[in-house]
Amino acid sequence: MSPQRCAVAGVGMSKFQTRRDDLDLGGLYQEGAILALVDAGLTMADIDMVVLAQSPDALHGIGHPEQAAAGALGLHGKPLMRVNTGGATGASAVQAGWWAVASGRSQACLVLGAEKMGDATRGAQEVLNKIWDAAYEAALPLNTIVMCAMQAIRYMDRYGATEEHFALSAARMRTEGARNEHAHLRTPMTVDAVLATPYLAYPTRLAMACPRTTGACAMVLVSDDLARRLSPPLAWVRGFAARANTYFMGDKMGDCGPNDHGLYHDLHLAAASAYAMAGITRPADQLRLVEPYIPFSVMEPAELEALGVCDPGEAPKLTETGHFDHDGPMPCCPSGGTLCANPISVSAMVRVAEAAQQVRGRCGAHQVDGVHTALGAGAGGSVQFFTVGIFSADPDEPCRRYP
Amino acid sequence: MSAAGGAHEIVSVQGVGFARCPSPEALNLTELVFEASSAALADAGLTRADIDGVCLAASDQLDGRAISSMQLAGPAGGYLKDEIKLGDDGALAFATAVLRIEAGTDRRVLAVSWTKASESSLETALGVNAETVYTRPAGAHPLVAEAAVTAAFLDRTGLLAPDGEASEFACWPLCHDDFPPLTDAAVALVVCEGPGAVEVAGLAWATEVPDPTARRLTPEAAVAAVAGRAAAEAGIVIDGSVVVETTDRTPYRLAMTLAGLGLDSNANVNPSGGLRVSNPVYAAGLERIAHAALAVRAGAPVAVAHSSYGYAGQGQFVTVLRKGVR
Repeated sequence: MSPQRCAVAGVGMSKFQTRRDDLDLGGLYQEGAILALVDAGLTMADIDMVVLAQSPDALHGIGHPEQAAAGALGLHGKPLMRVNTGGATGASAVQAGWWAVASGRSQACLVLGAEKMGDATRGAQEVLNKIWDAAYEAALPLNTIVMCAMQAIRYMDRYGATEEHFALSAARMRTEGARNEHAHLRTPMTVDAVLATPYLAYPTRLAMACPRTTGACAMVLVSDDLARRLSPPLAWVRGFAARANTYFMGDKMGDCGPNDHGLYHDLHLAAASAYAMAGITRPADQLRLVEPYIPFSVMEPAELEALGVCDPGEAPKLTETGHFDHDGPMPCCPSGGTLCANPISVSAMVRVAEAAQQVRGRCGAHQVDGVHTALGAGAGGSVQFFTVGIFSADPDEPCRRYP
Repeated sequence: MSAAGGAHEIVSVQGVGFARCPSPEALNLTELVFEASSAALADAGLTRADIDGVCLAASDQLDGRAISSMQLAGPAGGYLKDEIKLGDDGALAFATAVLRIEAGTDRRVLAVSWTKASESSLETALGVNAETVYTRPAGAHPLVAEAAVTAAFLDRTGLLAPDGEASEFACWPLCHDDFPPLTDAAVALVVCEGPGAVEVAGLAWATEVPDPTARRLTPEAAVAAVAGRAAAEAGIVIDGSVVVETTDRTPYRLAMTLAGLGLDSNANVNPSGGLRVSNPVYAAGLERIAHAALAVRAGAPVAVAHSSYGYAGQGQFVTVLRKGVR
């Protein structure tokens, strides 16, 4: 049985910033929901299922926030499910919403979430530092910055990438983010300026790292029948897949074959599954752009290679030539990406929403010309959860770069 | 939620697995989850290689981890698989597994849920669930909210409120003895496309707002609404001949559920023994589905699994299972 068609009919995003003193978490849910519903031309009465994207409860000072979300959204008798796959949560929630519509059980599914990590009184890192296994790896010491820095060092050792390559990626994304009205960091940076910032953990410098961000994101997924009765432009879901990897980074070092901490084998497998669903055999030729989850620019080359948009070890050189620029052959994160806004519960939803918005032609100043098929992806946990979504401008035609 | 997409793919439960701890030290959480998933796969005659995806549901607070699936996705069977984690009731892992198969994206999915209540204080963990500004400072711990729902039920039905010493009450009118003891357990189901001995005939769930005073439906009416949808999808009428497995978190919740299902005390409810036998809080909903599946395997033509969950039972989940062709 093939999945029933599913389209993105509405997207809502906050203007991301460090703190929002005007809205609590419930208020942010409402903000995202209203923006997405208005965009779709629907109301909550049309919604028959809700998927909440909310990652660590501890970031929000409330347990099981899905319980409070039902109140904020006035869910009297609608089915709700809450998804939490760490940083990948937002993309996983959209995947769950897609399953709901593709199964025929939902005609209009609202997928939403919000992040208030800027309000964390003792800093988000204090929560995130507790995600590691207390017995084996936490004492390294590990945090998300060190985790990704170790990945980058393995990549540098294998392919000869340099700090300058990572700075080039960061400067590009910061420049792209300046064009995105929803981005949190909107000040362009040069490579030299990036390299002048201090190290957080070698080779990651401050300007190569994401901010902590507050805001909401929501998407309305609809069935084929409903989509054809709506007037907004649509982005059709062509494939969605995820992979979970081992908790322990030590398992991805030494004699570990392709599942090396420096290579994102999990992302590669998730992308391969999503490509198979979408009929994509040559991603570099059939995708117009990609929005992978890159909270640290040091992650970019390995992620692009795992997605198959360039060959192994090729990404740093292509970065030098502007291949991944907004006006290059394969734009990467034309929104500025997670590097320019990281509302962690919805960062991955923003990635797939950005891919859908590019297909819908709704990206304003950071719109890429002529987008038929685009990819968004999320990453979470100890870089162990990856989710990939593919969207195109029509439900049946072969996926291709241009309309 | 509707089944407007038309006839769904036939989905069956092919494997059921439990892992329980005779003592808190017998199995750690990783082992508990691994043992349940392994048992379900063995019961289905499958190996992990046969599985396309994994759906998990649990509570990070009770697990004592900020993102507990980081640790437990692997032991549950999710290593390099398409895995997703749901919050709140374990039945939602089952729902997601069914959606995946009905969508045609997966053929065999593991649904896994667990609670190792001996690791932490349930009351403390639940205490952070209440809304932070208005509700929590007012003392509206979920236990207090459950007591309020129960008191309203007693008022509504004219049942006598219990009498006794203050020390007998956890929160009036709920006595300490009204609650089944917490247990450590993990539950896993192998959910597959196509016919089988136990087939999914109906599935529905719904959520109310957390504030019990702001809800539009009484618990009985909420159960009736969700059960009505699941029964309609299955084409059955839930009556006294049907095996029912429900999360009897208190005697009052059991009474509310029976009233919502239109059953009386003679109904065939919880032949498994219910939560008095095994009460892994967040996995209890999935355990009810597992026992309903076992009831069908044992010869019942139809079995209904129900769970209430969330803040003072704001969520209701009903699954109808029926005897399949093989």
